[in-house]
Amino acid sequence: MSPLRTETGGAKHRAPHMGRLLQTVLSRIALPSGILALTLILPSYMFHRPLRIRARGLGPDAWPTIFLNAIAVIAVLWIITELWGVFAEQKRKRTAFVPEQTEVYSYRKAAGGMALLLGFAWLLPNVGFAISAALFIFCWCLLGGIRNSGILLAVSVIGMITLLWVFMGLALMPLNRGVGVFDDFSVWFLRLLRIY
Amino acid sequence: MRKLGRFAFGGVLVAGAFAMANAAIAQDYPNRPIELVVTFGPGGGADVMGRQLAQILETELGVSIPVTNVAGASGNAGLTRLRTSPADGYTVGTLISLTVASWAADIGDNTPEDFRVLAIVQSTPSFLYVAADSRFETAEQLLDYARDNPGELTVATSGYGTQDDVALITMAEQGFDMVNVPFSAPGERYTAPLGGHTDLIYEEPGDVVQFLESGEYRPLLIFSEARHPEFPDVPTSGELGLNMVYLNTFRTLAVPAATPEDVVARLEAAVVAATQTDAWQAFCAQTYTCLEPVTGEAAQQEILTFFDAIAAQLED
Amino acid sequence: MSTFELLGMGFQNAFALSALLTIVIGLMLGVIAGALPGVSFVNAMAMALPFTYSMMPTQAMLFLGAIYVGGVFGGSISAIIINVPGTPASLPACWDGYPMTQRGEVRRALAVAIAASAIGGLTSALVLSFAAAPFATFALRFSQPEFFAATVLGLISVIAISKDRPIVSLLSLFLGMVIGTVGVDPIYGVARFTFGVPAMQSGINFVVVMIGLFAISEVIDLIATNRDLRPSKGVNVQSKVTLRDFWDVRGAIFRGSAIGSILGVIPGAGATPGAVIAYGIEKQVSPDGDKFGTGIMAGLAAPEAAKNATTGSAMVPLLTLGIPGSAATAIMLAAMMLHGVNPGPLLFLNDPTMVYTIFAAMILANILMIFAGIGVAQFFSTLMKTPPAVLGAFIILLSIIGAYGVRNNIFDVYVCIFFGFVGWGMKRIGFPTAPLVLGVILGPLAERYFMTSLANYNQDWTVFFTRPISGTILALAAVFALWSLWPVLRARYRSVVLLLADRPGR
Repeated sequence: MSPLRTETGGAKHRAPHMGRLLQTVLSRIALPSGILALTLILPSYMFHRPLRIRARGLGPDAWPTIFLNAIAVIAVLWIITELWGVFAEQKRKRTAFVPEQTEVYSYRKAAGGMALLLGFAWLLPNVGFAISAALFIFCWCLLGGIRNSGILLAVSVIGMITLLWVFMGLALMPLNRGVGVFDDFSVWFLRLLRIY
Repeated sequence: MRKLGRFAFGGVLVAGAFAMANAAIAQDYPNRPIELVVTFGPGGGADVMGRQLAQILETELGVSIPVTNVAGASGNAGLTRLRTSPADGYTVGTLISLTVASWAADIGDNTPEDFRVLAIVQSTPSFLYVAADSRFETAEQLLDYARDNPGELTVATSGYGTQDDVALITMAEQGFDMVNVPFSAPGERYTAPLGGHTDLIYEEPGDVVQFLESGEYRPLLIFSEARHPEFPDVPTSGELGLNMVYLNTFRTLAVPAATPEDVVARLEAAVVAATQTDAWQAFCAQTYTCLEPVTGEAAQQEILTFFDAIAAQLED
Repeated sequence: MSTFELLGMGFQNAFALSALLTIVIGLMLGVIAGALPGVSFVNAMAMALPFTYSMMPTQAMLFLGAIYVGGVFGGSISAIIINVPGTPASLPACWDGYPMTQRGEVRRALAVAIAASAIGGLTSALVLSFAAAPFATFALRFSQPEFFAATVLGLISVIAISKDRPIVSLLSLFLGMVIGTVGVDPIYGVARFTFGVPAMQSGINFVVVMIGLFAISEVIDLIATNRDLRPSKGVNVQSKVTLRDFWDVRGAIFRGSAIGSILGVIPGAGATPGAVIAYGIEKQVSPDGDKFGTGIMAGLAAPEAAKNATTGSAMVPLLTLGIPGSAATAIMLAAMMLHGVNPGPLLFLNDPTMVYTIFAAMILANILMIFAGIGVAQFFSTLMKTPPAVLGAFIILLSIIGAYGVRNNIFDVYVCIFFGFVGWGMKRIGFPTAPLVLGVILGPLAERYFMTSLANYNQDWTVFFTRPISGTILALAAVFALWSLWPVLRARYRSVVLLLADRPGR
């Protein structure tokens, strides 16, 4: 059931080259070191403006400070165990964070999907939910390999109208209408759908 | 290029058509749903007030008024939404004392000048209550004990830097030092005196009606200039020789400051009319918050006074 | 009149056609909303609130109560079928429910989940009907230190859930707790970690984080792998549901129901800690404990029973004291107040008919939920036949609408997408996401309880240990932590390194 790739220590017959060892060490302590650095930087950004309140007992900084420190301690522990792990490698199976390899994973498609999400997030407040949702469904299906333009159009338009009906019409949610011309369009469109 | 030009031209035409279609009917405001932004989550005092008013205003204005809860940042998230909405009267929001107090603590990016208050629809003084089985029978007993045992009595409040806090600090300055125990979750605050976890609770009566009616809370003291008509036996802080700034909890409806005058007038009239209906009167009687709605400059001024009083407390 | 007579009268009212219809519609709405990734039952109840204005007060409560009961269950449908929890409380349902689906046992998983939820809910509704008063007085004895201790127990159970890698899980949990501090702090009212962005003052809402971490990242994986969600056509013979299955998990259901019923009374996050603690305890108690996470029925049944067992008991403080302990009960309180009804002890004296009709309706709703659950689950299984790309697009839009709907704030949409990317990255490298969400949920509660306790008891931190109930709960938490960690602690040098040994994130 474990999709995890377990590398058997290949170091049985020869000591790892120093350069490779360094690379292994760095890659394995990168994440905990990054988190450790974060815990050192974050406290100075806790308050944006100087506080004018008088603390009674513990101040508003107490709780986050406790847990930032706890994270720092754990990150150090993690780094130590990782280093220990690297040097004790010969003795045991090496397990590390390795992406699941049970299926073909297309990082390009994942990146494409994330780009679409960012585009949608930018469009939503500007052009309103109706247009951005229809565009999003269209592009996402395209990315997912649907090439039939009839299906693409039907799914995006009917889908968008259904969502508008359920959430703006029935549930009375104030989804974004966009700004300027797009606001005018949205109001017109919502009237057309008898939602307004 | 020509194609693009035609496209752009078409776009302008379409835009113009939408604008006209919407503007043509904008003469008879309102002609589409008005969004009422409640600046706190569902279930609180502001929410119940907003929903009650929205329901009555729907008949007054003849359009549907869906309530949108935009909670966060002591009500400032909702106010930011209100402020950045088009100032066309189709977005109205609640503006309440807790949010005004938060401005003094540098929360939010809103100022009193960003909003035009339609009307203060609820305003209520606060009381100090004890649980039914408390050793304190009268306010005098309470004050004597507080003076003789500074820092011993605990009071459940809504937090530091609020009007509750200001009231307790003012009392402490006059020799009645009690400990402020901040409970930001209202439900936990109400149970604190019932379970004997705090000695007192500072609260407006409307939020604890159920405990007042059942007799589980006994009001000892009101922070107000005059006695409350519903609680004629409860002495005022002034009668007991306390010198307080009277900070009522208030709830208002507001629109963005740039909203056209005629729209504001229409809304203001509708809100005032709504507060005269039987439905509203029954509601405000139930929550001890009935008052003649304060509108216009007077309302704006009341908010500034409140803000200054809180800010002054935080300064020292 | 005795409780039984009153309850009989309540049943008469609840069986009236209009009441029954209200309950059924509410249940359907609740289960559907719960099952839609992103739209939680709290969303659904808030959306339904305006529709209760025109109802009678009792009917309004039946409607909201039914949405609540249905919605708390509904979240597990999407958790089991597509590994996306519909509501935070359904998080544990992903851990053993989804592996069962992957094995082709989706029907069995759903059947166990529905049965466990219904029994849990029913237990709790009975507790509400017969023991509301004593339970309410019990809840009153809980002060802030006790709430804090109970929250610590919830946080500790994170270790129990992922005992192979306690250090990384703990790190994930603490990161979540720090994320939970973003925004206006609950005690002083000052803004923290906003980096000068006003929108950050609203804080990071846990529902939004959860939608991003689970729904959005899952859909990105979906498009990157072109995975087919269509259940493999009945290849697995084991998929047949037998009565034996239910009998096998009776212990898990019983324990889950008990844990949920007790935790539900305590104000706070309710269903989610209930489900997580039940999962953690079941993992220790069950003989198959070490196989949890691979599709063990007991691991699905216990949290399912627990989360629905919080529904009835969460209404105990609402109806007896007028105190809402959760977002869902706060909405019910609003509905009552809008009808001029003040819940509290007087309600039992003034309007026992209403109170007992609500009790009867809660019992009825949990039985009817079985049918509503089966119906919607059937419908959802059919939905899985649509192409994954289309399904993915709609899951994302629903997630974004759900994230937006939490507070009607566009900022939450950005936060949701951000955590979608973060969750995707965490899954890719095998960093556990569930503890982070629990940290965001429980962290702010723990802070509030901690700070208020100190203010209430003279800044004396020993109060957490010296108060009897609080001390007992903390001692239990310590025992629980040691018990879960024992296999790890006992292990010798080589296994100590396995502290960090990897376990897949999902």
